[in-house]
Amino acid sequence: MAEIKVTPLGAGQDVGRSCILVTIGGKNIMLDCGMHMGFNDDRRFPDFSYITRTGRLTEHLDCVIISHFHLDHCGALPYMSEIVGYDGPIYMTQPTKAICPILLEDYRKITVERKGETNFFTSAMIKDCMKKVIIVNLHQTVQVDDELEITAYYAGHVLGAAMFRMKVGSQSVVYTGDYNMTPDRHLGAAWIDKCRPDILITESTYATTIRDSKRCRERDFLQKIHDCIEKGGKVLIPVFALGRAQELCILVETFWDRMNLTVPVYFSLGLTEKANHYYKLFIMWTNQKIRKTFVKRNLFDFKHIKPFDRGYIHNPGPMVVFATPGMLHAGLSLQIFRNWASNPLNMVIMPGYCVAGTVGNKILSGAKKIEMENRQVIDVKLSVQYMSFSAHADAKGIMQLIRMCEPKNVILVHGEAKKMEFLKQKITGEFGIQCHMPANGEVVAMETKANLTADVSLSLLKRSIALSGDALKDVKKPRVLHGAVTISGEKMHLEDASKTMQQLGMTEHEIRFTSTVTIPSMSMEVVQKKLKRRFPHQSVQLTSDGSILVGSVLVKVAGESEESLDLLVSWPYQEEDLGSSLFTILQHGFASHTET
Amino acid sequence: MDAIDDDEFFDDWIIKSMKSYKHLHMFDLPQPTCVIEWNEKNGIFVAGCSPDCRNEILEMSIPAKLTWESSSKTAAGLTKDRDFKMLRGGFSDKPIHCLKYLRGTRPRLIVTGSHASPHLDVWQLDTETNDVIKKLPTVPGRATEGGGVRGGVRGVAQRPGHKGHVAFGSTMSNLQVADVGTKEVIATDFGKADCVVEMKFLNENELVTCNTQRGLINIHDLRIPSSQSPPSNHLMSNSRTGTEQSILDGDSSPKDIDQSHVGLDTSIPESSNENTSCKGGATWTFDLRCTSDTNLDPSNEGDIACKKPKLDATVATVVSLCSSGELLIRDLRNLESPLHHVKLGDERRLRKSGNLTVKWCPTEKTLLSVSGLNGCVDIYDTSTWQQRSNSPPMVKPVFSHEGHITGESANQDVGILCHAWHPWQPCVVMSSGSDGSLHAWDWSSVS
Repeated sequence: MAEIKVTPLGAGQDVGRSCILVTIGGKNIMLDCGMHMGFNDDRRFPDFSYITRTGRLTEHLDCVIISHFHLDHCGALPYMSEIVGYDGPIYMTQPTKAICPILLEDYRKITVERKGETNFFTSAMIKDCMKKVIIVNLHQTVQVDDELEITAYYAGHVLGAAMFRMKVGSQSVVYTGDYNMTPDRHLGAAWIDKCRPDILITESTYATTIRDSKRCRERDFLQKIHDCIEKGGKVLIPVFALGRAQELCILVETFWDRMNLTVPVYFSLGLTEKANHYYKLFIMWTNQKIRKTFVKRNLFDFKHIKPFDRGYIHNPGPMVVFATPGMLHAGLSLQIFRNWASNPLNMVIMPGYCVAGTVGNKILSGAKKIEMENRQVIDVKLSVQYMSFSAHADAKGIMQLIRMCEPKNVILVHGEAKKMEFLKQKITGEFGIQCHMPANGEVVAMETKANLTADVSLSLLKRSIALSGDALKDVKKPRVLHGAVTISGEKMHLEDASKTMQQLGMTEHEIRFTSTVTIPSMSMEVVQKKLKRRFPHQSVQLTSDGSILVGSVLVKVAGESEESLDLLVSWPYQEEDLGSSLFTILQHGFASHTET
Repeated sequence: MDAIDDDEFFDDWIIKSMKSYKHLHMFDLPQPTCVIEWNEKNGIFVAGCSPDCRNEILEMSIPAKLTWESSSKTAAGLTKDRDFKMLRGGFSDKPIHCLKYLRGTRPRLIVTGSHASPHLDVWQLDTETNDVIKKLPTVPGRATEGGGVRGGVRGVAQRPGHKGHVAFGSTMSNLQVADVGTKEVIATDFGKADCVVEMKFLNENELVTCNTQRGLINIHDLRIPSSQSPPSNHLMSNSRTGTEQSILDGDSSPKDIDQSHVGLDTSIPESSNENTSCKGGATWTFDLRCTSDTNLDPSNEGDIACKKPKLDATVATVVSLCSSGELLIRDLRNLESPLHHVKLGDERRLRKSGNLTVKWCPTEKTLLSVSGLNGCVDIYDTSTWQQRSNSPPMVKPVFSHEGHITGESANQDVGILCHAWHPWQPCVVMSSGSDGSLHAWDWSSVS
């Protein structure tokens, strides 16, 4: 029996540092290699010693797949490849490959330069790591080696996010990464074909959440901005250029237009250049609406939103500014924050997560005083707001995806087991399939039904079709075929038994059942007629020597008297059904009720 | 193009909503729900009512945003939680049409009823091992002759002061009060009429029922054994029992009601019945409010049902609503002369959509909410109503929640299945649509 093994190294019943090992058809695959935002020690990375305590990972892993650029899915990649040691292929989509190193470098800077940690990966390591990356396009099937192939599907979580299908022979596993089943202003919904994998490994971060609608989130966002500028305050929105900045800009632009607002809105110039560059590169990863808009005009060509100049920081009156970076750890957004933080009329809206140690992270945890690098202490008096626009599948989305790809088993990661029992029963009840929730380091092994493929000789196939008589109707219906299997090398061959024996130089032995039955006296012609009536689908022939052949069943005169006729009936064991039913009919002397 | 127009229409509504709502959250449930029931914390129960499939009962904690912002302004901004969190769930093989959380029970229990079955299902919420709501043995119901839709459970009410006692059934003839634990029947034989009724407890001993076909209100005293007083109608103001008032329980037409009987537990005065546009297909619903209602109080968490409620039934006010848009507010002591008799809203908008519901606001005495008439949840302020002697005046809502018929995927055919006020947060209401939508909104306008 073939087996697939799944072991989470991170993200098993937990969110953060996603890393899952899959063994399929003897191939070892690592799915994602993330870091945990909540830890500063060893626990921030997955426990790679599970794979090997000594030496490099290269010989233990056939490939590594990264689903998307979020740090909880790729943050440990340079550590894994350059410090622990892995030289094999790393697969990711093109946008992920472009954005991932930028985020890793940001993360490295924060950890090393700000918190003074040593023994961390370097910029050079990030570069070396990225050299090992192989790009996978959507719906493209990539052959990792002779047996293992992987295919990427659209996941709709962030730009470039993908779900992956891995296949070895007839076994397959789908890993979702983070995905979103409802399209939004800038991305489409996740999609996969009905590929019926043996296992679907799905994230379940929001499995127990009934999510507020996107529109209501946006409404809240606009309401906050509106309230603040009404009172004369300034709004700072730190954004990550490649995240949802573009989407938020469209939102504010529309709102300004409809409300006839005149308060100035700015975005930092670096942001637009970077964003435009990437959106141009990866336009096919966005949704249709954006694609259409992009043909018409520059994505950051807004009526109300103008480029920002550092000189505007001290301008009087209300204004709204989108500035990078998103975690307030450096650059323009931090500079603006320093200047505006002490005024309680002002507001900062954090639209995403922040790595521990950043100013963004500190103010989100409620810090009222923040010490800057130059020992300057800033009083945080402005209003701090959090808005999450992250796009994950909820329970409904998970059910939709299961319906879409029809897996034979489901594994839930990113969730607490105690709180997942209901979802588990829901999946089992609705689809009649197994559902597992392994903890970190816990192995789930699943038996898979192995399909054996064999070549059938054309003559055998033709003969069996002719024998069964029903030609090729119901082509999809499985049917029984008699033959002998020979295995030579990797190939299996199905052939007519006698031919196989001929090839192997064996003599054929025949087993026949022979018996005598006495019937009332009648001519063989009459017997033939009667048999023909009883077996309308068989050939019933009277041979020249006076015996009858019904298919391959022989009926022969063994003795005759005035009243009775002794018949010898003989059939090969392959014709047992026909032979015995014919014999029974004769035994009962063509039972009277069938006589007409 | 249509899709874009709809989009813009909805965008307009969303932008407009920023002025009228302090909070607005819209959710998509796995199945439409006919019930929104509060637990004693900040949580609700919803349950699927789809026929021919497995229905889910969910206990969810409400979004922290909805209640926090008013109390502490600073913390609210940092509250990420604008979503419902599923705490636990259960599976029912029947569609669920009524659900009651039994306050004060330990382990915590809920009971559910379905139009498809005369029995009452009992569920245990908390188990140590996981988040699945466990089904306990059912409380057998009294099957009505002929069965059918009327045989199922139409309503359920918890008896104050008796944690495990519930009244349930669909008609006078199969209504019973039973103990969910022992399955003992406490009271039964409330009458013979085969009209569908709704029920609410006024206090420990008095059960108020409303005939949904005619709007008749009855009060039944559990202390009077049904055998002794065949009509089983106990009058509040004058305790004449066993009189001919029993006609109300019979299949008599409203005409038979003797108007001269003061304190008779009639419902609609004869006169109003003639004036109303109530036609054959009209249905009624009601709600009850007592001044010293044992409503939820955050300072008084849990175990409310254990305390002897000090209900002053003399000031119980009953509101009854007809699907024709007619609404009556009456003092339970004097059902003949309504305090208010009005017609709701614009008659053109009236169409039966969803379930007819009327609810008193638990925090503001003069407010009440209505749904099931037009795809909206309408809130009315009774203090602004002028009483006129002749025809009932037309009144307009002070607030109308149109979210269910304006939403993204919503269309004009969506009806409101139910709605509920937050027990102590003023102006917070939840409503559910037939498309599976669940909206949570705070209609106190933004300052």
